[in-house]
Amino acid sequence: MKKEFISYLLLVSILVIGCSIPAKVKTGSTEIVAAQKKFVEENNRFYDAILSTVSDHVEVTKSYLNEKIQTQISGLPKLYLDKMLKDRKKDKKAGDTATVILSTEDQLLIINTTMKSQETLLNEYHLAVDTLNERKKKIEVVINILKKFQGEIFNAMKSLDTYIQLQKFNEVLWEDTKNLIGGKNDKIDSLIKTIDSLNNN
Amino acid sequence: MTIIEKRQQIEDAILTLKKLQDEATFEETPEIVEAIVKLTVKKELLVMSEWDNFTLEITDDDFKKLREAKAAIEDTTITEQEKTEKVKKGIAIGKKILGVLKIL
Repeated sequence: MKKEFISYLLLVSILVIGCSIPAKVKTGSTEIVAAQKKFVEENNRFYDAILSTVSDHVEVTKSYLNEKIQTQISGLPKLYLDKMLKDRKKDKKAGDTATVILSTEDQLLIINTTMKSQETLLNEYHLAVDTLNERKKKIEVVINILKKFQGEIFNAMKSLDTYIQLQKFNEVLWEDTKNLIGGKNDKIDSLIKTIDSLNNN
Repeated sequence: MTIIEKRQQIEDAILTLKKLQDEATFEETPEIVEAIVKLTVKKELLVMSEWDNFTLEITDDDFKKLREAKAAIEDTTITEQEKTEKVKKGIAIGKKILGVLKIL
């Protein structure tokens, strides 16, 4: 849901920015200055919104997984004890009414299995938290690069004779940022290359 | 298959595995528990670009067996042996899912 919201937010933001910029404005006109300013402001708001949404998403997901996994972990000792008792009851011969008593081996098996399972589930949780934190960090890094780049764009704008290029640039940003939500390294590399390429052109 | 359908498929698998967990033996239970948690985590961590390539890699027939196992648990008209057989098949699919998740 959060991811869908981010996509929606990004799309709306791009559309708003795209629609609010006139197709052709003469360099140096007061319109271009106003449009440039608006572009930077809109983009910065859009990046802040991404950061805030990603941060909320990470915290909500961590909390959800923590609750789910902790519940599972705390229920393991009873679960395995009940399972063992059930299995041993099934093993009994017909007509045997004696209460099931677990052997020391059975009890040790329950303890070992519980500990092993708890460790597996805790690892799973820690891996999930690491992934989420790493993803958030990557997005923060890229957003900071983008924010920094806003000033350069603002200056570069003076040499652009139409805003079509700007709109194209925003479309590239949109695609890259959308993919960045996935937090993949190659996407960050691709984005930096895109920025470099646009900067050099 | 859309992302919503894939998500629904994972949720169905989790619910079925939870049912099967009740019927599993002591020996079978740890893998079922692990599969439930791994699926829960996977469902939350998959991002848009990953959903496109993600698949549980289980066939329609596997899902049919899972559903049959789930239904058998509540079915009072079948024999204990029939129920055990269907549950065993369901647990085998659960282990298959876990196997796939472990290599992802």
